Amino acid sequence: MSVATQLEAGPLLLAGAAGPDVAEECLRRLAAGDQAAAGELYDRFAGELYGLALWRCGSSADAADVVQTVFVRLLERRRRLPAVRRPRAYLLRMTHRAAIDLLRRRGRRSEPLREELLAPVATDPARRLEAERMSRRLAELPPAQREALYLRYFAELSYAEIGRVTGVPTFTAASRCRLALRRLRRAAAGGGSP
Amino acid sequence: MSGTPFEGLRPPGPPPALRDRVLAACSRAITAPPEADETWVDRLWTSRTARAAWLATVLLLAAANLLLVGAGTRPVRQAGWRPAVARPAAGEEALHGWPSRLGARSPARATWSEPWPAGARPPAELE
Repeated sequence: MSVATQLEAGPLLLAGAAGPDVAEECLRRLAAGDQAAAGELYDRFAGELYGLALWRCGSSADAADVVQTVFVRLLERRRRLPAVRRPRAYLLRMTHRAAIDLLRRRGRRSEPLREELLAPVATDPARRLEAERMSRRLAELPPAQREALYLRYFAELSYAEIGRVTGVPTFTAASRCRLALRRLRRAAAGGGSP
Repeated sequence: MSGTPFEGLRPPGPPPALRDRVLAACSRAITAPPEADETWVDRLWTSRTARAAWLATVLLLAAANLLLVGAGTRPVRQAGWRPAVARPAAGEEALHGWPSRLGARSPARATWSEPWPAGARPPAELE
């Protein structure tokens, strides 16, 4: 992927392309109580974490709560941060767990989604329509499959990494992606929901 | 996202107001004391040596458990007394009408082949 494409795609993909050393350094500074590091971490990772939480919870309000919870937990556990070796995977895992905690607290696994899960990269009416259609199809998927798709195609993780983030075996992660894609294709072919 | 169903699409970004909200929550959290000290958890989390020691302890306990359980199932032998274990002879089995499969599966019969210790009398039913 070219740098121009990354810039066009915005902070989401730039976060994925960021070197781990910068993030590790941010975590070390956060562990030392440097509050500015929280802002830097937010700028670098919030887009990705928010997207993951949105696709898991299906609500922008819940996704915002999850992102806030993740950053607060980071500070509460700041003694452990210097030992974190893969900051991005660590943050994605924290987001996954915080989203599940939030859904459990509210006593629901999932509910019909009313949020737009996708937006067009460029302002194009045809793309806008496609984004709406795809959002509706995604809304019909189980949250775990939606989450696996997000991690695969937007966070660009391997199946093994998806497994580590979501706490399932690699095979399960791959099978979630495969099932979700099959359902999306079937829905696209049928013109309806999966 | 070429070659995927999401070509030209991406998830929406966080609302702009979220940044201030998160950083405000962070500043509250950073002034609060960190999580209660869990000394051993912290040590295990941060120290490779502590983790190695913990693993070694678990392995040692598992090995000790296996050894002790193995020792508990061994037959107890009296000093100076050695039972000679012998299967019933084929003829004996035939005589007593043992089914051959049952005979093969049944535990070996012990017969006391050693002479009685000096001065001891064998039980009356053996005389």
